[in-house]
Amino acid sequence: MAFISSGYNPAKPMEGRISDIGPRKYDSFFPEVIAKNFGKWLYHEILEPGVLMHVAESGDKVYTVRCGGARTMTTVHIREICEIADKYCGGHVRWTTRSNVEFMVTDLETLKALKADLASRKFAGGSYKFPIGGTGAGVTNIIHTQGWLHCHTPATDASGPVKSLMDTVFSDFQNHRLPAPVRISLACCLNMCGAVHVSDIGIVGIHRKPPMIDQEWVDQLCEIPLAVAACPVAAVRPTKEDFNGKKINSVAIKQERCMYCGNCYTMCPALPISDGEGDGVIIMVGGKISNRISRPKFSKVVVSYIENEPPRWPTLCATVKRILDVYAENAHKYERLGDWAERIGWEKFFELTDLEFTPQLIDDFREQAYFSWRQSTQFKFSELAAEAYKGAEAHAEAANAGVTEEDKATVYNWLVEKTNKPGAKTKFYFNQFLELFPGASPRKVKNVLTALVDDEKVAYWSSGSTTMYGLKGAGKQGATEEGK
Amino acid sequence: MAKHATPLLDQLESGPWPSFVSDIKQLAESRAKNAQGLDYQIPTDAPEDLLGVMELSYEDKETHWKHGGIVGVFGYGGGVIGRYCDQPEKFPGVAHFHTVRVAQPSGKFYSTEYLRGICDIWDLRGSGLTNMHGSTGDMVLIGTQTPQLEEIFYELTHKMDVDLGGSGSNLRTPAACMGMSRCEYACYNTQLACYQLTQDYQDELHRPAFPYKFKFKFDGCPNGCVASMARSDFSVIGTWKDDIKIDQDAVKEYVAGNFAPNAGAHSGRDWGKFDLQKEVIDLCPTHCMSWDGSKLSIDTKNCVRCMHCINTMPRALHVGDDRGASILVGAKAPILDGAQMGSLLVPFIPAEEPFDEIKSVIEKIWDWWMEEGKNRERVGETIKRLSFQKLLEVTELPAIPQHVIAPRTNPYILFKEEEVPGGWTRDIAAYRQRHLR
Ligand code: HEM
Ligand code: HEM
Ligand code: HEM
Ligand code: HEM
Ligand code: SF4
Ligand code: SF4
Ligand code: SF4
Ligand code: SF4
Repeated sequence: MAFISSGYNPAKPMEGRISDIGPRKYDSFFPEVIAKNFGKWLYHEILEPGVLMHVAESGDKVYTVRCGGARTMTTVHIREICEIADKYCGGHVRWTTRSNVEFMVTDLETLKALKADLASRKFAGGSYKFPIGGTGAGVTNIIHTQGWLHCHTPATDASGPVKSLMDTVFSDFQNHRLPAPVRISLACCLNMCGAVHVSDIGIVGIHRKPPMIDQEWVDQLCEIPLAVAACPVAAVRPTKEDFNGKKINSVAIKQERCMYCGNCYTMCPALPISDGEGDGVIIMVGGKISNRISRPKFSKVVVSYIENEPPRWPTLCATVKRILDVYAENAHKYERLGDWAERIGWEKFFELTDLEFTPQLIDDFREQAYFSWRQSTQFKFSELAAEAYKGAEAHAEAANAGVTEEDKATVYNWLVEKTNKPGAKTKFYFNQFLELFPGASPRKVKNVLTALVDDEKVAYWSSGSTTMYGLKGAGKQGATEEGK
Repeated sequence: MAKHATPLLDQLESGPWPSFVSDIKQLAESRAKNAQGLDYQIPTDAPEDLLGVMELSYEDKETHWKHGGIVGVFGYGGGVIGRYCDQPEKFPGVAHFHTVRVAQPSGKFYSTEYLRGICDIWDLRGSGLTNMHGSTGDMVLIGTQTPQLEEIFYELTHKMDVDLGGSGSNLRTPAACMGMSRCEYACYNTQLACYQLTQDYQDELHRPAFPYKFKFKFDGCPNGCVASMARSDFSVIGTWKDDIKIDQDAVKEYVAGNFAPNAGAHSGRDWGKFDLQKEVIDLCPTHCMSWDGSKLSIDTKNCVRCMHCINTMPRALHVGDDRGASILVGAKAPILDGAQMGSLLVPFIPAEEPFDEIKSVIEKIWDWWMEEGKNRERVGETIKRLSFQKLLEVTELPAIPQHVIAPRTNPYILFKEEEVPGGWTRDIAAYRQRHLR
């Protein structure tokens, strides 16, 4: 290979440099019919799945054939698209937000020939190159990220699961049988480079093991303050370690705090996170972006883990297919998946889809968690609800345990010791007494305190909202309270 | 004969959906054949090695790519993402395999002449592999080596008249729906707004000075085809103030079953005869429509412009003529404190060239966020930390009920000292005159 210069001179990078010119202006690429009728479209109709007709005020019509495709495509494939666009579409073509390819023509004759041509093209391996579909109340192309093809933090692949899923739901790409559009997205890690969290069905790769610490490399590869700062939950801290008899700078990770996001690995390659048996995907459903009928909403996690099963992710595909089919069977016309689940109730959603409700599906992340619990007596019964309560066998015998003089002395002596320290607190919360009786039932400890109150050695103190315990008569407000 | 056996990936060649594996194989074959006689500037067998490294990932279920690094073009802080393989000896063709983001035209219309020009550069100087397009919107060229970056940039700017997109803590490549180019619902020219602002903010796009990334997206109507409300810090969504235009004759055609409801979107199944009452009137979220058997009426004051009736009867109903946009601010992905969607900031703003009104809002937000935002804090998080009221203050907007779904449920109102008569400095001696201890 001989280096071919573009004309760029590395010695003088600014010479003849063009920068800050942005994208090409969109209208320089318009087909004639689009340029002519820009902003003057009257209505549209989906003639059949994947084929749209837009009618302009002028009476002009443009027919669009929408084709699915892998968003990872090669120049060979793009050149084939160009060849088709030259032949039928006057040298113009467009891509949709969801990586579909659209060919536009202005007469029915050409439309027919174009459709036949597109449908006939197949890859050597047998798959379609240009399947027509992706419109209306069906499934369109899956938005996705890079995965094992090109990223450093993925917990799953992207192109492979997407290919497998689209094969599984292919008939819905070419049909309008669903109650409303279903948008599927996939992100290969928590960073969610796509808008997976607002999809009818979102698939997200998750790690489940905290990063490993490669002590041999950490000091050499990492700027430790950056790795520490990268962690969103402050699980990483700097530390010194002995490694092969040498003191090295390193990090320690509080494993139980880690949310496996991989941000520290991005900053520090000596903290690898990927793990073949730990990694996998979750499924989120019921999000929507459109403001139609109901407000936009986030997707909810309904499957807390599915292992990676390359090359075809059969469990993932079967689960998505089941959700789709149950939705199709039960939802009303125009009802998006999330609107349907909300109307029937999520408990019903789990019953109908037969998905397992695992403890991980209850939110426990910060304040927002509370708002997803049920502050109501309204729920629908299912077998699970009817049988959730398992009986009264665990009524505590310790509750009625007797109080000994020794118990009372333990509390009293402790209170005297604490209270007599100069400048000390005189009032104590109940839970502090629990520490004096490790392993004992709280109700037993309460009985000890009650006995001391009855003995007039201990008194309650109350703010009106909070009750504490202290030695009778102790404390700065004691005088007022005793009426002295 | 393929360089690496890929029995697992080969299983992704069957089935109807276009196979990326078959596509990469045809690229590998084409490069091996080299009909054009190109002097490939990166290893000819890069696509083969890419399949090889992916097959390895399929075996051990772990990625073999390493973190990024300092690669880029002179003077730009973004647009290139460094990528290295962690098995360089086995797969030398992809040992260095960087990404170049190329700014896409709004609405993603292309001429074949332009596409071929890009392909020519990319065949010579890169792997021939792309994403059409990346999730942000750019055309993404996957796989080249460091010495080629300046050459690619030079050819893109000189031959193709196009620039790189954004990455890193800067303005990311803005994106728009197809808008007026082919959609009757577009309430403003999304493509022009996107193009104009991208041009006006080139410096912010190429030279990062923000706490973190910032994204604009432009949807022409509340249907939200580029998902701006979910994916952009600053989301501009078309809307209108006056009546939905009603063609009563066309309504009757729908009622009579002569026009397909929802433009034919439900044709795959027999949902029964179109029922205007059940499918439109009753589903209107605010119940502001009525139908007396011959005339459809909409109480515009109670319409929230959800698009349902228009989507369902596109030949009879059209968006109003007094058009502009709503601005929603602060969407972000879940990391860390949970996902956020854009929150309504400006209910209505003119959206006409040169878009000065929209730009004034953006710039006020930037001035505030660049000063107050913490590192790696999206503006949505800054708003949460410092309050929505603060956002109103810096954007000089009044608080109105439209800003909330409901007023607050807690009474913990933090009044400012100047809002309370007499301020916070009080006289304890005077108090003791009124109250004994
Ligand atoms: C009848 C109602 C609707 C019509 C006429 C309509 C029209 C369109 C048009 C013209 C496009 C192409 C725009 C582009 O690719 O930039 C599009 C794409 C899209 N629409 Fe809609 N839309 C409707 C309803 C919806 C709804 C309810 C949603 C979801 C909430 C939605 C989400 C999308 C998305 C995600 C895309 C990108 C699709 C792709 O790239 O393949 N649309 N829609
Ligand atoms: C340290 C803080 C608090 C103190 C010292 C306090 C004190 C009191 C007192 C003395 C009463 C009895 C009033 C009476 O019956 O004469 C009371 C009642 C009550 N407090 Fe508080 N309280 C506190 C915090 C709260 C908070 C934070 C809430 C609610 C979030 C609350 C809710 C109530 C309610 C609902 C009642 C009953 C009202 C009634 O019976 O009419 N309190 N509180
Ligand atoms: C610390 C957090 C993050 C890291 C380390 C990260 C890293 C990356 C990397 C390395 C890529 C390039 C993948 C490749 O082409 O090889 C990427 C792509 C991308 N990122 Fe992120 N990312 C992060 C957070 C996010 C978030 C929160 C969002 C969205 C709000 C986002 C949106 C994107 C998008 C849209 C792409 C293009 C993806 C594609 O088209 O495949 N990223 N990110
Ligand atoms: C704006 C603030 C509030 C107002 C105006 C309010 C008003 C009332 C009223 C009118 C009642 C009925 C009293 C009755 O039946 O005689 C009541 C009862 C009650 N409120 Fe509130 N409340 C407020 C805040 C709270 C808060 C913050 C809490 C607790 C977190 C609370 C807890 C209760 C409880 C538990 C009852 C039932 C009390 C009983 O029946 O004895 N309230 N409240
Ligand atoms: S979602 Fe995560 S793994 Fe996937 S491309 Fe984005 S940062 Fe990489
Ligand atoms: S993976 Fe994420 S949460 Fe875990 S230690 Fe690293 S940065 Fe922190
Ligand atoms: S967002 Fe609205 S205006 Fe834009 S393409 Fe979608 S339906 Fe049309
Ligand atoms: S746009 Fe929505 S709110 Fe307005 S009249 Fe139509 S259905 Fe009702």
